[in-house]
Parts: sequence; C-alpha cells; structure tokens
Amino acid sequence: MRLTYVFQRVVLLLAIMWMAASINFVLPRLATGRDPIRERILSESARGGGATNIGMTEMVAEYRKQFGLDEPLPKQYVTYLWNTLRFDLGKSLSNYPKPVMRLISEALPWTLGIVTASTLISFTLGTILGALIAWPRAPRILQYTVPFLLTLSAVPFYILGLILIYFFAFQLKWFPIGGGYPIGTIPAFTLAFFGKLVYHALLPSLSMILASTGGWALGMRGMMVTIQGEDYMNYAEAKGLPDRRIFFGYAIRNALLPQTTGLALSLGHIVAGAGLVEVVFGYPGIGSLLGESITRFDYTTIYGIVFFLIVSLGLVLFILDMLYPLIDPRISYE
Amino acid sequence: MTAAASQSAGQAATLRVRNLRVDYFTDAGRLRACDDVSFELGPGQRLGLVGESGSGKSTIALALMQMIRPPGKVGGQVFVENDELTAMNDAEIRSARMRLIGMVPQAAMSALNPVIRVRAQIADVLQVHEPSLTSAQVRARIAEVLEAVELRPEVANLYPHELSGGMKQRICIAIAVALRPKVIIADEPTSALDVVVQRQVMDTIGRLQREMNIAVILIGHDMGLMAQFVDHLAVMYAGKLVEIGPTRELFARPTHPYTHMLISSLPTLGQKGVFRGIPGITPSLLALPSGCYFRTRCPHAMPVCTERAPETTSHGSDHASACHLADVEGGLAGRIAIEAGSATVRAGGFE
Repeated sequence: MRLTYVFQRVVLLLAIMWMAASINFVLPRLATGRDPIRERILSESARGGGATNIGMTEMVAEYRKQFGLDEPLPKQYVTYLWNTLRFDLGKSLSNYPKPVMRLISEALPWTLGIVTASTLISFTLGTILGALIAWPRAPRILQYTVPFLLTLSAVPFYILGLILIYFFAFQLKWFPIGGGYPIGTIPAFTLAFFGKLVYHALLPSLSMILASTGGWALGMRGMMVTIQGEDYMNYAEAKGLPDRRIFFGYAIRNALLPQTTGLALSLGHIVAGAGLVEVVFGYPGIGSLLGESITRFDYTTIYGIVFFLIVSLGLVLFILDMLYPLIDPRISYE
Repeated sequence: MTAAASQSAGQAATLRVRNLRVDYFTDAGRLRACDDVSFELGPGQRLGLVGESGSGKSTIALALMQMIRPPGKVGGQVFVENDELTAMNDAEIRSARMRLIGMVPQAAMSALNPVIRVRAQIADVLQVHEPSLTSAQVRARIAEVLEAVELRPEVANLYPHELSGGMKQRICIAIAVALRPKVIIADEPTSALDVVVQRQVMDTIGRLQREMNIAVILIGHDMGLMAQFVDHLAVMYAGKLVEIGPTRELFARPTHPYTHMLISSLPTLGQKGVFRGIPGITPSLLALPSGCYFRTRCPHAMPVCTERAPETTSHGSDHASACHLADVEGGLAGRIAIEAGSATVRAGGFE
C-alpha cells in the first residue's frame, strides 16, 4: 500500500466530515418563517401560565446573542466549524442547557454494547449457517431453515421486539419489559450490575439477532452458490483436497469478501443505534435518544446524532479500505 | 466398443476404461453424455480425444476423475494399473486424484484460487497426498516442480492475478505432475492461449510426460494440434467413441465418415479451395436419431443405418471404428472413391 493513497484517503475522509458538518449547518437555516427560539420561549411562557408578550423581543434578542445567531452567517459558520472540530455540537434544545455531546456520550455506550454484540453474533451465525446451507455435503436438514430465515429476515426488528416482549416479558415474565438496568439500581462496575445489564440486554439483542441473521445467511448462501460454479472449485476437487479444506480455504475464503463489506457497513451504522428496537424496549441508547429528539423537535440533538453517524460511517469505510488489501490480494493501492 | 490402444500386449495397461457410461437424469429425461466407452492406454502413451462441443469429451475427463456430481451417474469401470477408481469410496478417490490420475484444467485462467498465493496452492496438493513431508521438503518440492515447468521459484510467492495466462497454465501443469501420477488428463489445456504460448505449453507437457513416463489423454478439437502431439486418436460423437486408432493410420485411412470429415475440414497449406466443414449440428442428447447417431449428417448413410446402431469393427491390431460401412465391400475408402467417380482412392487427403 502506498502512503500517497493513505494520504488521499485521509483527505477524502476529512472532506466528507466537513461536508457533513456544512450540511448540518445549512439545513436548519433553510427553514424559513420559523424561529425556534421565539417558539421555544412562547411555549415555555405558555406552560408557565403567563401568556404575556412583555419583554419578548428582548428575550429573543438575548437568546439569539447567546446562541451567536446575531452574528453574520460566515462568522457563524466559522464558529460552528471550530466548535464541531472540538466535538462541541451545541446545546440540546429540549434538555437545555445540556450539551448535545453529553447526551450522545451518555447514550453511546449502551448502544455500542448491545448493537455491536448483536451485529457480530448475527453476522457469525448467519455466515456459518448460510455457508452450510449452500454446501452440498453439509447436513441436508439445514436447508429446511431457509424458509424460516426468509420469514425472519422479512420481519422488521421492532415487530419482532414487540412479539418477544409480549410473550417473554409480559406473559411469561422471564425478562424485564424494558430499560437498560433495573430501576433503583445505581450503575457501577460490579459483576452483579454487569449481570443485570446482560439480563436486560438479552431480549432486545435477541430481536436484532433473530431479525438480521436471516439476511446474513441468505447473502452468504447466494455467494457460496455462485462460488461453487467457479473453475477453481472444480479444480480444488480435482486436486483431491479434503472436503473440509475446500469448504474453508476455497469456498468460504472467497465468499467472505462481500460479506465483510456488508459487515463493515453495518458496523458503521451502529452509532445510529438500533432505532425502534431501543424505543420499543425503552433502552437508553442512541436510538431512544434520536426517537425522543424527533418527537420534541430537538434539532441540535438530531443534527448531532446524524453528524456522528456520518463521521463513524466515514471512519469505518476508511478502515475497511485500509484493511481490504489484506483480505483480497487483488486489491492494491499502487 | 472395445478397442485397445495399447501396443504393448505383454505389459499391463496404465489406464483401462471399460464400458464407461455417464447418465444425467434431468426433468427432460435421461441424457447419456458418455455411452459405453472403452479404451486402454499404455505407459507413456498419448491419446487424443477429439469431437465437437457437447460430444462428451469433458464428461469423460470428469468421469475418469470420478467427479460427476448428481444428477449425473457413472457406470462401467476405470482402472489405473491395478486400482479400480470406480470401486473407491470418497476418501480413497480423493487420495487417488492427482496421485494416480492428474488433471490439467480447461480453464487455467480461472482454475487457481484468486485469494491465496501460488505457493499455498501447490503446497496443499503435496501436504494432502504426502502428509509426511516436512515444510522444508514441501518448499524444495515446490521449487523443483516450478523449475520443471520452466518457472522461477519466486513465482510461488505471487497471486494468480499477477501471472500471465501461460504462467497460470504452467502452474497447473506443475500441480498435475507434482505427485508424478500415472495418467494425466489435459482438458483443452491451451484453448485460452495464443499460438506461441500454446506451442510452449504443449512442449512442456510433452517433455514432462516423456521424462516421467506418464500416460496422457489430451482433450481438444484442434486436429492440427492432435496430429503433432498424440500417438493415438479417439473420435467422439454424441457420447459415443466412433473411431480409435494410431494417429497416422487414422489420418491416412479413416474408417468412419465422421473422422474422415473432421480430417478433411483441416485447412491445408498451398491448396486453395472451398473451406469444408461438416454440415449440420450435433444432435441433442435428448433426441438422438435411431440406429447410428451420425446418420443424419453422414453423406454415406445407408438404409441399415436407421435400423440399428453399428457394431465396433476392428481394422488392425489397435484400430477400430463403429460404422456399417465396415460390412460394405471396400469400406469407407471404397465408398468415397465410387462417389467421387474416380479411380484414385484419396482416403484422408492430409498430405
């Protein structure tokens, strides 16, 4: 791999981040006719009972000054970029004055833990299963799993989550209905608390694993079927290699390449959280935070999360690009 | 059809194929891709297997390697010296491949695993078949076989996409001879190469085959290449072996009209004229004509040809063919002479 390529790739990554940040800056300012500060103050004062307009203009002006909105646009843009560079994504509108960065960093560990684990587990399970389904000398019974996998992969995460909650949490009461840990316990680095964490994470993880294993398996199965028609598979057979060797060294080794790209992409999406699964299970991750922010029109938090997603996706793809020559020798950067 | 290509009567044949049959059971019916083929091959002999696309040449190659997969089914017997390949179980046949019967694949361009180095692809054959080898010995053997196919030992460190077509084919030849098998099947080993490289690759195969006294089956449809390389020729048509014999004799005195037409379709130097092909196409294996399969394209077809399939008739010690003309006075040569209306008998027209 040539250093110039790495350099180019880093520049591209920075450019992507800059573009993402700029879009985040421009988009909310394109919304005409609405003043988030004025609306916010109005709703606050209405909630306070005092439906009065006294001092309204002054208050709006004061807050505009505080947010830096009275500055000319170019200056705002520079300040914004500088803040973003320091990972200062502004303050949340609905949880004012909590910084968006704090909200995200509080929710991120939950999401990273549960989604990374589920993605890796479903990837591993699905890939192995898919490879075996397509292998003629593997147990035939595995092929009967295809209809189940197809069905499961067609059911969205959150529906599966609701079904699981109904049966295992509501009816059978084997698992908690929601949350990241029992109400009333204080998060601590103890084995007991870790056990509770896993216990609460099991059902949401299960719904994600069940729903995405099928997709991985079907993708892998397709690749394996294609690869079995390749000349090098026939030739490996003619070389008299044992079946196991052909399966791992020839078939899986080649079928894994597109699977890996898929894995990297879904790892990049992890930051976005499991979306509705977290909402359904009341899990305190990014998905729940995003859901809440959307219902409360918390623009700064939404933009913060989206920015984070773009950055992490860019980073993961950068890492994948750097690693790809190691898994596929035909790709080289020269 | 039983025709012995083995000249040495006293010596045991290296490869014996008896009544080899390959059936594919499809929804459209049974498809006999290889119909009752028998031949023998002595040590160090070169047999060419020619025929049009779909005549069953590659099917024979796969059947000899015991690599026909369902819905295909193999019948008959294949012996390499005293080992019967057709009676082996899965583990035994895997150990026989490349050790007793090697193969140079048709598609050398894509026969190598694209993601692992050449070294590993030669090494796995050695390690699987000779597990007692140390890694130093494997290393030495790889260098040795690469040298045998005129490649530098550093080539082992490259990936297949870094090699030219000729180099890839040489690697495949190196793998095929690495265990010094008794028989090598070369299935159109040069079809994807240009003529210069083709010549070099064939020279390499020929030299190694002589040095190691390996019997070779060369599959192809290039009659010119066959004439230069093989000592015996077998002609296939619609899954059947229609003629087999020494190359020179087949070219000089073909006894099957199909062989004759194949040879006549070769362009000759210095002789201008209409380029002659064989009219018609190979019949579908699902809708074969009655009697002789070739009669629909045969210029000498007789009433008897529709009635029953021709028996194999011997035309000398190791020359045989399956054609009803054998029962006719003068045979094919006589027929051609009469039809040409001339007294001169031009059997092959190769000179």
